[in-house]
Amino acid sequence: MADRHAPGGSPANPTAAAGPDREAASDGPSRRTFIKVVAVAGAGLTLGISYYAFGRRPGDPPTDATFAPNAFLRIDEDGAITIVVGKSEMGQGVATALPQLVAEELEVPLSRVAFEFAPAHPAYRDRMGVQATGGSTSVPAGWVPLRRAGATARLMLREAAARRWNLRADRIEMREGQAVHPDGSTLPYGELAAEAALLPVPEDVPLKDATEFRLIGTSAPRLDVPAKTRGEAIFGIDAGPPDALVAVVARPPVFGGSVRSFDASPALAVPGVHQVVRIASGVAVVADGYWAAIKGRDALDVQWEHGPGAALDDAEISRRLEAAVSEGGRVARDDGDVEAALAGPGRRSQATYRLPYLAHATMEPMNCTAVVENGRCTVWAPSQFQDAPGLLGGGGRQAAAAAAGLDDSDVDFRTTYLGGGFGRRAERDFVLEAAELAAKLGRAVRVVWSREDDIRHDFYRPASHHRLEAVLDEGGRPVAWKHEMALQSIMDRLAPSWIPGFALSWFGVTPGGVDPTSVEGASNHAYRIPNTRVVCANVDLPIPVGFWRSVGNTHNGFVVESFVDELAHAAGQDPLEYRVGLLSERPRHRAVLEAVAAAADWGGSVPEGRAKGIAVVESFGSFVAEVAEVSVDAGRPRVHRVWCAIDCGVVVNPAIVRAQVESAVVYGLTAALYGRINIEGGRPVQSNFHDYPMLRIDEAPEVEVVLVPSGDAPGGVGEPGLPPIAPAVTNALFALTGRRIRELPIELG
Amino acid sequence: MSPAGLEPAAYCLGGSRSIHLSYGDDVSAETRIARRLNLHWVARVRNCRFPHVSRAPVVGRPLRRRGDRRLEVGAGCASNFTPARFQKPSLPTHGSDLMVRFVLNGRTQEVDVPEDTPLLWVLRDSLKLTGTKFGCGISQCGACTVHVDGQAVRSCQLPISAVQGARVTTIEGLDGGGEHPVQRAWVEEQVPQCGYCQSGQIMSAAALLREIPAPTDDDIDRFMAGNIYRCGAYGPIRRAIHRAANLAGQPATVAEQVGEGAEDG
Repeated sequence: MADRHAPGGSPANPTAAAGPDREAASDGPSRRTFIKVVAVAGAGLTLGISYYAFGRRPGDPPTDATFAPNAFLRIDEDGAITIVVGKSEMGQGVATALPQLVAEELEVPLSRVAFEFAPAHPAYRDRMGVQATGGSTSVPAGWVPLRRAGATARLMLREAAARRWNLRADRIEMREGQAVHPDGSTLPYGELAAEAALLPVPEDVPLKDATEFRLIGTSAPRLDVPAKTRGEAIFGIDAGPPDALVAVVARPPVFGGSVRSFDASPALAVPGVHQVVRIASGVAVVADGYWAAIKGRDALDVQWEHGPGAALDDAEISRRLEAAVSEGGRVARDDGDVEAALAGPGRRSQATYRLPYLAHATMEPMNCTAVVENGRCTVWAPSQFQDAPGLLGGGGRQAAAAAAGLDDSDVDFRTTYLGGGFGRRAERDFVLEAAELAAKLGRAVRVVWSREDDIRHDFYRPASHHRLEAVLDEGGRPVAWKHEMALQSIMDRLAPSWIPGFALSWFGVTPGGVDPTSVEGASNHAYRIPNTRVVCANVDLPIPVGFWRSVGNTHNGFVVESFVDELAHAAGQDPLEYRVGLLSERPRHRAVLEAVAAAADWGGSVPEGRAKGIAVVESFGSFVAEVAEVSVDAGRPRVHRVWCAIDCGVVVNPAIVRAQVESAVVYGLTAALYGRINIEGGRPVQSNFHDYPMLRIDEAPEVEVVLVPSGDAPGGVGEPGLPPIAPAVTNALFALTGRRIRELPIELG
Repeated sequence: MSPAGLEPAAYCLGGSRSIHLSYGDDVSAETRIARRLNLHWVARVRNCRFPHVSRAPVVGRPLRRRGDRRLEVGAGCASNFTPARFQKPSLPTHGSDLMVRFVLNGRTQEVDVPEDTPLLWVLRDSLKLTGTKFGCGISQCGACTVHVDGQAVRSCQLPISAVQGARVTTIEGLDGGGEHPVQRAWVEEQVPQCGYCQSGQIMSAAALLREIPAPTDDDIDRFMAGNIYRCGAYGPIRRAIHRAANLAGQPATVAEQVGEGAEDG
């Protein structure tokens, strides 16, 4: 059952339970259980969400509330207001920001609202038919539909009050969760819920003008913070039935390897170990608890078939990437005639950049809990990807159904809090393991990954090589820009070439064409350069690769902003002015550059032994410029201060935006200073935080964030703060030392 | 002053060669713990390569194997030793079951589990207290931080036998109403993001403030460097610790602090 907490309290366990836990509806509608049957609004494209017809089927979102005009909102007669959050909360604040959107139009204080995470259900799919959280899209995608959901409910409640009071509706003010009569008397929404539930749902509901916002644009306290300060928030690793067994899985250590044979007896000899079970991903040791399971796995004797992947190492990977850059790839952008311009007059510049594989290292290791009983599978997962029938290989619900041998409709997929996501939890591997094991065991089981498992069996940010060439005219401006890159393609795995083109194009993938997640940040760089070509070669390697916070912008942001900086210095110009000069048609890029320059006192005095660097990257609908102030201390770079200016359009919650930008800066800085996954013998070298280090408080810079709002719709916030930090730091190091860093992680020695 | 016959050889993951192991010397908290741990050692790493060694003692249990003397150490510090389980054991590593009696969040608790079970897993799996989190298992991340006799300790490598007769406090027991000055400051500064590391952060911060009621930024850096904040907003953590120090200065909250620490013995 979903835990419902008093309004204003913060839900420890807002994981929704659907369908079977609730009492079955009686036949025929009654006032209490009347369900709004809402027609599918065309393709739902104008609204961005689909209102589906609700029946009383198992697995439906909870609908026995008194008033539930859509999938995002319930009001009970006792006055409890619940907002259903259809996105995964991984720290980015959707559990607060999305209710802010609903509550604004509903006219209810956020402190009076409780929230729940949505189950996997069609009502929460986006326009592409996917229920997932990623790409910094939660607030932009919800901006209109969630406000409309709140506004619709408000109008229906107002109409109910109008009928009760026998007044024209427009004489009634809706404020702070109450209908207010002109004479001052009030009716709280709870009292109107039952009557509102019988009214038709209005279409084309007008939304507030931005000048009327009372909640949007304020730093409303996060609804999940109190629970998280008390250890009460339930993450995936905490969730599920108390009698669940715990399993750890021995997985092939070499990429592409498999199990040849195994001897379970030493594992079974460990007290607390119940069973050893072969599953698709390896050999599972199932025990009373994690400690027994891990000792059992340590004792397990497995013979691995390593396969040809065992020959793979960093040197080989580097050779393959280098060769692929030279051989050329698919053209992602081609303006003018870059070859002619490169052959023409002017000063040539060229550089090669290399970036490594990166692990996600969420604080909560991968895990998933599942039980299969009476033909139904219940899953508790800290997942970013709940549902996508027929696309991208399906989401968590499809994975659980397939692994347990059931239909989608037999799966109750519940999303918990996520202890970090960063794109890793959009994968389904942990769901597949738990569902398969639960079906085989016939009882609840939680599959827990050790930190070593988590680092060594990741879907890494792909390593890449880049070659850039430019020609500068007499004024130092680039007239030609050629960017050739080589890396593994993420979409090759998720949307392989046999998928029909029309489906691919929803994701911006051209059949047989360029993977947009590889070239973002490079093919769409903002600088005005008349002859530009961007080429991307897909390299086929057995290393699993996936989405890592800001994806293609992580490597292209670094490369583009480093090379532009190189050109600025080659032209003898100030890096800020040089960029501004190439962004004459890009007011939003210029605005954040100017804002960060002012905040950082760019061009002003700098303490002895320090220097500043600057970078600007547009990603996920937002524009971020950063300045880093660095020094070198005993041969190691030290980042003292970072200033960020972000234009994310409309700011829904300023405190959350600032926190997310600081978060992205630290995540990106960790990678820039320390992040690397080496490959030796076909397996990752690193395994835990002693050799895959994290930035800690004693190395964290002071971060200042300036908000530069613009426009009338929000851009993304979770990822855009990341791409500029690495180049801002390396550009600063160049200014300080004259040494250009073209490889990450930064090594000065 | 080592137990006779045992050559201390702990493997520091940082590669530090200068590992000084002593029994019950130095800081009083280490002595208190050491006394309880009949078979246990207290260790300190000198010249640690990781700059973020916390104040908590390193606690270990000697393992004797055929021809091989190794110290399996449960690290209370952020730099730490290779747990014996990283080397494939020639003998089973499970300890025999041990009845351990300790005070947990103010109430007496008894468990009967293999003696080498880390306190973290006794709390989470045996006692179903899931507020203390698992992040790395090698005392590098701090997510598992609890208080043992008032000291911040990483519970992922502290064997349950080490808390025999001890007073253990977890995030659930830091303050009955969740209103410890650190928790209040955490809410006021809106520190948590994903929240997974926050129990450990709060427990470390609470221990810091008991030891240093008005910490400087340097104190905070040294003490909190053992807690990784992957969501990365370290600025709010610093601000929240300063705020908690101020809150704790209020008369009404002094009793809360005193209540937690007063019973060590």
